[in-house]
Amino acid sequence: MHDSRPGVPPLGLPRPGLPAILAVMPFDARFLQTLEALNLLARRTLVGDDRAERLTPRKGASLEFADYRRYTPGDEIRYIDWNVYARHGSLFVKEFTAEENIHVSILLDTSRSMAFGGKFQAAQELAAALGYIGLSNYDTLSLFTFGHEVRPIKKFLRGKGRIFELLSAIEPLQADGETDMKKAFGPSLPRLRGRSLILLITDFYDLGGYNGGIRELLSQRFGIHLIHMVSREEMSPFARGRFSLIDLETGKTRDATLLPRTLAAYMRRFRAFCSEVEEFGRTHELAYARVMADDPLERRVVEILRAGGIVEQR
Amino acid sequence: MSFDHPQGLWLLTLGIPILAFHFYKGRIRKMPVPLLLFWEQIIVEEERQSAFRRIRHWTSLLISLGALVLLTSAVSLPNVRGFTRPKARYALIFESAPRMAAVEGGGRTRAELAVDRAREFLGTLAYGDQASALDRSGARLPFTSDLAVLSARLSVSRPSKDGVDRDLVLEALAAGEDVVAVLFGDRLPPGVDDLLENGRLRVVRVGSPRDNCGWVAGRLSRRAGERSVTIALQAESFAARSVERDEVLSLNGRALARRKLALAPATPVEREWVLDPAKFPGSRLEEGGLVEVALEPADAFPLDDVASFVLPPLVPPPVIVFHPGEPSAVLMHALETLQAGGLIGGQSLSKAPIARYESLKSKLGEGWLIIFDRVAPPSLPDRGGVLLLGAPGTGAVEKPTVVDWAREAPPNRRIDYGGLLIRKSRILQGDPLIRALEGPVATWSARGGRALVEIGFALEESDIAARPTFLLMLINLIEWAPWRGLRSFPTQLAMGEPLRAERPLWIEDGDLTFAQGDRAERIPVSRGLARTSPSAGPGFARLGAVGRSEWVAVNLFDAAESDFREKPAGAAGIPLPPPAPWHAKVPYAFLAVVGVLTLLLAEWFLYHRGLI
Repeated sequence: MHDSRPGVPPLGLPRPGLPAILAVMPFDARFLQTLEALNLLARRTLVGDDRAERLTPRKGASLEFADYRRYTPGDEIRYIDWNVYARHGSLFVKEFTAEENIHVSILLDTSRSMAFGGKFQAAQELAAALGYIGLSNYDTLSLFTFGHEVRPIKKFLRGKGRIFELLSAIEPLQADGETDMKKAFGPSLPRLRGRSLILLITDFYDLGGYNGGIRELLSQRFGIHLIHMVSREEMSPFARGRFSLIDLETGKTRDATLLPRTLAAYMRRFRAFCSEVEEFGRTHELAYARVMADDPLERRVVEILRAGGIVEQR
Repeated sequence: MSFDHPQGLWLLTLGIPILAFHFYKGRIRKMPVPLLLFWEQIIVEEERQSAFRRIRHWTSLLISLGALVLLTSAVSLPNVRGFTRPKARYALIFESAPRMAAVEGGGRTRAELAVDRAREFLGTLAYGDQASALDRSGARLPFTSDLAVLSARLSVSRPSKDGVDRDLVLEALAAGEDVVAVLFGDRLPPGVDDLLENGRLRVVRVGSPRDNCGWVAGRLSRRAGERSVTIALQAESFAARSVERDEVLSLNGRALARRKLALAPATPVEREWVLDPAKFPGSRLEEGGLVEVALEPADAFPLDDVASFVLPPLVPPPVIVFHPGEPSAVLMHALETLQAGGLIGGQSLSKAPIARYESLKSKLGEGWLIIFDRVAPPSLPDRGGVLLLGAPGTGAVEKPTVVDWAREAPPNRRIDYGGLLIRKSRILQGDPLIRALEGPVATWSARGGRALVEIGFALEESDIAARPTFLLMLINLIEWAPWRGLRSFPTQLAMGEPLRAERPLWIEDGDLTFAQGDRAERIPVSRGLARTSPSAGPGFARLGAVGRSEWVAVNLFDAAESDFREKPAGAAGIPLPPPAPWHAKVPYAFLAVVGVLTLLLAEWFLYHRGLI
């Protein structure tokens, strides 16, 4: 049994040349086992490329019965249902559902607003954990970042062994630039394979409105999970007195005296915003999970994402 | 403006860190936010709502500085003309003359009303004012700023012999230039007009003019050898019209006789009561006791309605002579002569050899005259009158020459020892009764319970028995030694006069109990002398210790005290200061702290309302 105490190298991972992100991520043996027991939940049945463990609308060779169809020459004789032939006198063959993988695309918000309150690092950890869940389920995994445009970081990774590749790609990412989801997810969106499952990790701060961009994704019939990153500092700020407020994305400033009632009004406004995003997801039948940046990673992945219908126990 | 504690102003230096912190707090800091849009919506809304937008930045500073100023003033205690009231010191003087016992309408005496007025006055003073209290009876309460305690400790003054005078007022004012004396009494003392004019003395008058009548003089007298005493009294009415009262004579609280007394205005009336046991059979007057003559019904000033007297025993004392074998014939002849004259009880002259003294000693006591003729007892009797003839002394002298004698000593009343021949005498120690060139040949002493006369020679060794001198001395001794000579205290005192013993007490050390009515006090005794002298009210006072007691009659025989008619008002003087306002009655520091707390509460409230 591997020792899971902090500072002890993760099981099966080589010591030299580890990405720096591993130093802060508790990817020890126990946590990896926990992740491997999870599966990314897709609300829609999606089509993949290769045989895997996930059922698809395609007919294939799994043990899951799908339908009957009339026998045509050339069909495998072993799939003829002789019982039906005995009752009706016609030849029918049994069809089975194909078990395939799906294409999972992680869209990570790298706008400057994500740098507030440790949200970006928490989002990086979450992307790595979700990526590992996908890879361990033989799904095809792609990682994209977005701000005012979508940038592919890693594409079409398959198998657990590619996790280091993923982590190495995530680690150097920086939060920079502004958010414009509508522009980013519009017609210029890089081609995603098939009907991907999109894991959208963002704080939804978009001056143009986040819903336009998500609607663009919905119009392309992607399965979408909304992962809302929030930090405790932005949820309940504590500052009192006179401040010059600086917008992290635009650099715009505004002088203000922060009074208890100002803070109370802000908190009310922020809670309304969170509820608004959640309601948007519910309206469009999208899984939604609000993740607190300073929660432990295991809790973020296992409890919050499970509760939000983003992952499930296999 | 001045300050009681100017060093408290150092607190103002705390204003510097308060200002520094305010400006530090007020500086604009940079704060990155993920989305300014939220804040802009709220800030615009807030600024529109807040009416204090311009001043709220300064409100907190004003509150802090206001609290600091209040705290500083609480410590430094500023005096601002027209705003704060200077601290004052008042000496409350209570009239303690006997007339203060007069009952006013409402059933309270003038002395009680004086205390009531004084408490009301104390209630009008400001916090920090000081007051003391004194009266003529000797009661003193020192200056204190705890006016509530002083008010609680004020009590009705004991009557004193004299009332308040200028000297007492000056004594009260001697505490300081700032002291104002306030007299609570019914009359102005004489000679204080200048003090009234300059405001050092203020007067609160109690009582109102009224009619009164009572005893203004009284005396009990008895002639030697007589079996009766005479009480001579003088009554006077201080009213505009004639008054009729009853005189009631009582002995030990039991009424013996009653008669009418008519009093015309401003006309003193002489009255006399002859207390003869024969006239009051069964009254046991001959045993002596406590006699009162009361005017009934009592009026609003009861002190002068009763005249009290201590009545001595009227029966002749028993006499016993201890002798070496046979008593002196000269002595016995003299005693039998006195017995025949009624000065010694008919069956009360006895003689006994000295050998029987020890067995008879316990039967002898006060009221007896015990004579030792040429014999010296092993120990003198503790009680009673004692005469030692041929007393032992330091040495015998032949033919001493008598040069002087104590003319004021009771045994020597009306006696002339000039030319007395003595063949041989011993020289004695003590207060000389008869002094020879060689020293005292006769001495006398008296203390509570025992009167002693020692003569250093036997009767046969001088020609004293051949003179009337000896008989007179025996008469004096019989009159004095068995009762008057045994008393430490006088029988009669004026009201308010201190109870001082005339002679050493019958105890050397311990406590003497003074009791009068429901008042009782312990008087410490050291070396036979009382260390304190309480003053007694009217009536009878008892002084007792170790099984022996003496009664003293106290009377107010003073026409000036009994006269309650309207008197000239005299100088009005300056009235009392007006009552202090309510805030002056509360410690300023307390008000300041309340102010600070109020400011802090206001800041807390404004903070939570989001106004500052």
